Amino acid sequence: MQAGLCVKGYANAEIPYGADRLTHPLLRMKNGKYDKQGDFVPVSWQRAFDEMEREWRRAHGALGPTGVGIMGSGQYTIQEGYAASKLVKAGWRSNNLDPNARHCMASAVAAFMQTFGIDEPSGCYDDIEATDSVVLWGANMAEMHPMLWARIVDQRLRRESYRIFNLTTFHNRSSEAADVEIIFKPNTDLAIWNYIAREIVQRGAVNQAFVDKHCVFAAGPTDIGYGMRPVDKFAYAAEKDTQARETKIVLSREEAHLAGLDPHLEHHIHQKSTGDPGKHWLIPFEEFKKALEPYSLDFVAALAQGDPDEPHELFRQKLVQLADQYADPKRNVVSYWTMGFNQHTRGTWVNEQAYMVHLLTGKQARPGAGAFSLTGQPSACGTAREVGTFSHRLPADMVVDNAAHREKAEHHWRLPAKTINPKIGSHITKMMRDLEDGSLRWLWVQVTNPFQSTANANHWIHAAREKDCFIVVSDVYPTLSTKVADLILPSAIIFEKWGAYGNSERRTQMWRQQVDAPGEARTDLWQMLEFSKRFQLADVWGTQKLPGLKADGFEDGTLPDVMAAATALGYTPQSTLYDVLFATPANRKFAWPDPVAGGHANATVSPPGAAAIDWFPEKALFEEYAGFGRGEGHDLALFDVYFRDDVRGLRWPVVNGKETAWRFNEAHDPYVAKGSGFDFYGKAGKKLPYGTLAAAGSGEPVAIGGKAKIFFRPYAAPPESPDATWDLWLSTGRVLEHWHSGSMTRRVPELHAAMPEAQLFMNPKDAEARGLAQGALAAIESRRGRITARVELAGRNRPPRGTVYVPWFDESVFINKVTLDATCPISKEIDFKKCAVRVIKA
Amino acid sequence: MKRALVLSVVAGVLALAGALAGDEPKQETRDPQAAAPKPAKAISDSDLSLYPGSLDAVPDPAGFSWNDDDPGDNELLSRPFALSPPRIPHTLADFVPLTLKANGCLDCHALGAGADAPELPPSHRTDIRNRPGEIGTTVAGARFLCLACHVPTSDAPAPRTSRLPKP
Repeated sequence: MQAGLCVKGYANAEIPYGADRLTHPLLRMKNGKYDKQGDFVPVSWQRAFDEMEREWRRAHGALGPTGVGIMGSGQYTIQEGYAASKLVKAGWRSNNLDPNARHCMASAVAAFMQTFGIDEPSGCYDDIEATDSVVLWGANMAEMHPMLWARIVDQRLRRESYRIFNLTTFHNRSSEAADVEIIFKPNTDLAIWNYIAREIVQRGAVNQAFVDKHCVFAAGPTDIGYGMRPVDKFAYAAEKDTQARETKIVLSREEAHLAGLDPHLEHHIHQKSTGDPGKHWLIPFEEFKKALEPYSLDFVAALAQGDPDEPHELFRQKLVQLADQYADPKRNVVSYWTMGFNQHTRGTWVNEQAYMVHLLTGKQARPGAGAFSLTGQPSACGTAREVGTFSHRLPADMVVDNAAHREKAEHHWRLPAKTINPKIGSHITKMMRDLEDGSLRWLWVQVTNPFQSTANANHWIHAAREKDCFIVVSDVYPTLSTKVADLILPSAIIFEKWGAYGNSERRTQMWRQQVDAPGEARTDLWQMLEFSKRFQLADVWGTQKLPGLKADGFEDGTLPDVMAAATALGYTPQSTLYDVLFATPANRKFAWPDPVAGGHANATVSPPGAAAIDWFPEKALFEEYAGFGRGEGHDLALFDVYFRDDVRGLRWPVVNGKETAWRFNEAHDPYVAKGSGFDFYGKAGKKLPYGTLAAAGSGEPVAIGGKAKIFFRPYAAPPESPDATWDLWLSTGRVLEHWHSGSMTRRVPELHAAMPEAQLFMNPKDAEARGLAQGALAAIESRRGRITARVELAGRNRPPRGTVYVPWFDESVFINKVTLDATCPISKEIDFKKCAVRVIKA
Repeated sequence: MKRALVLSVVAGVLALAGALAGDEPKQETRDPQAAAPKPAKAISDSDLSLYPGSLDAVPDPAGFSWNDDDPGDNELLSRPFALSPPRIPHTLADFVPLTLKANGCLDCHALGAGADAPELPPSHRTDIRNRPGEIGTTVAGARFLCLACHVPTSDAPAPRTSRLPKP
């Protein structure tokens, strides 16, 4: 394998050396005491942990386990995520642990689980060379996956028959190398997929043998809301009309037409399924076919055309060409997507629609053919998803609201039965809402910058500063989130610690520590291990109140006292969480020093100026974690294997020393039942009743075994669209030169000079209509906030009339004050790609 | 001292680039900031982060201009370390967008282009995926989109300076 680096990769070596690295714990103080209104004063780690502990006890005492939480990260190493999960779920019995990856990959996860019963892609990056057509759906790979994009462009230059389609809501850099660019209106990707599926069915292009043997058809409720708060108590006056759509909507004309209703009348639809939006059931093929019927070329082309200045006939032709790629049995096709799909109020649905078309045509889980969810973060897959740092997850795709999964985790972790809390915790956006309504009072932010990255930010920055809460932020540099912190902890950066990441082709990679951290900066793992010493079992494993808890075997609203069973396991009320969860007898057998280190230091084992330990937490925790997945389809190799000179990461499942390039395919995946050809062997959601498009039937659930589900999902309008007052669509996203909120890359002088400021990309005609010239200062306003930015009319992004685009990396162009915190109701991932704004001269 | 520092930095790049390089140098303790001093006085939250100020403030962005010098007007820009891709010291205005049919960079930087410009180095004429070690005469396909690695410059002042010594 040969990899490349984009400009950020080359700049990596400079990233630790910014002049404003955080080097000492900083606590808000007045007159020598913690004070929420104080300025930041350097304190010792001892003092920092003392204050954290005191505030943790205050919040936990008042509210129980749900009063405390951790916001984690897709930049966590595997070991850090695992430690956080164990500390929060096993130790504190809170499920309030959720990563920034919620904003990134949650819709992909939900769709994988619903479609295949197991998370993560069937294919791998080798698909790029093996395919004939690449279709980008809301993925500007030229900027966000530049090295994979280089491989795609390489293929296009070699093969005249190779085709690249770019489906997007505005012209971007990926369009420059695309054969066909399709600019569609926000949310109409849902309709375009159904048009393609309808074409496949009508042209007789269904791969009948594949579908009959390996697939079933499914549907779910459509009145599922938009993931907003159900009440308007905290909404600004201007926000209330949008928020009201959480409970009741008026169908758009197109939605009415699709539902078979008179589009000229007003149809009010109560959103009755917000409590169980992911529920689904099986349907016969005839129901599926009937549902596709209204998605004709005429209807979809009229609905979906995103550039009003493009000739309509040309747009229609492009849709037909797109359908041709999928329908042609001789062409291999890979569909790639990232945030355009995942950050979508119907993100789970639109992911499932990609599988719908690939499964219908049998173009899935084969070399060069598959629907592939690209990941943007280094370890959104390896850590956030596989380890399970989501508020509903446990390791290896298990979930907290499944009794068998909890038992398995409790056994593996040597916990008393019923230690793990069965109630799903708050997702990252809900944790922000919890801060505002006072139900979360202690928050630790690790390896992320959520106060910049969460939509509708004015609410959350005020909640953090004004409510009775204590916010701890661990980071390497000061960020916008450290501005609202009460305590800042200085962390070691990637090269200053040991770690492992897992990427979107299921490849696990590891590294050794290379250099020392500055000052008193410490690894995030050390921080968690140290803090866990502050808790004894008697503090956390007695009876705990848990508002809203209702689960079989649990008293309503209460987690049971498990101390008696804990004693039987050999623990005492005075045992610390450090001893019970981390420095267990099994883990301490992984001794430090270890030959695999080859002379490299380990700052978790012996941080300068702190006591050293004699075991190897990164290795011990990795092996303990890997025990969850071995034999379960998530097999990871032994820790030391990843450090061999001939290993460049390995794609799981790694069985008998061999990695797996294509899952579910008998020729490549050892988990596939022999003789089956394909086997979608994921275990989740595999027993379902039959029903109609409208509702589940009352019959017995049917086991579907190794079959994947082909979902019908309808077009749905967004909860907020432009109108007379807020007359433009706003989309946000990333840039090539910076990662996410820029907290690391903006410290690199070369990257900063190459992309110093977030600009307002807009169409020249829209600018002219508002009296705005190139470089002019403009205000961008929504129901939620106002910011200013400079107008760019001829840059790398060229929006059609009616759309503007602002990247979110720049903390002084704080676009998330403007965006809407509506989510996909199933995945709880925010839609950062569409809300209504107006732009005026500033 | 300077050389040792650069070496350790390069080791960092190698570690990320491809899991682990075979002959990886052992850790060298680097140092301009290992003994970072404690901040001397209390810091206001307004003074934290790249753009000091209150979170309620809506600062007007300063704006910036891309380097609009003609090719050839400027010397090559210094690199932060030996392996970093050279930056573009001239305007891009006439050369973007780069498309599959028109690559304005190669008009001058291709081998034998005849312009008084740095020519594609051997690394950029090697197909590392399929024919490593074989140096051709034209650009490797995977290197075709120059702007993934080579970035332009602007007149924006750096908000913070790097502590990394220049080679």
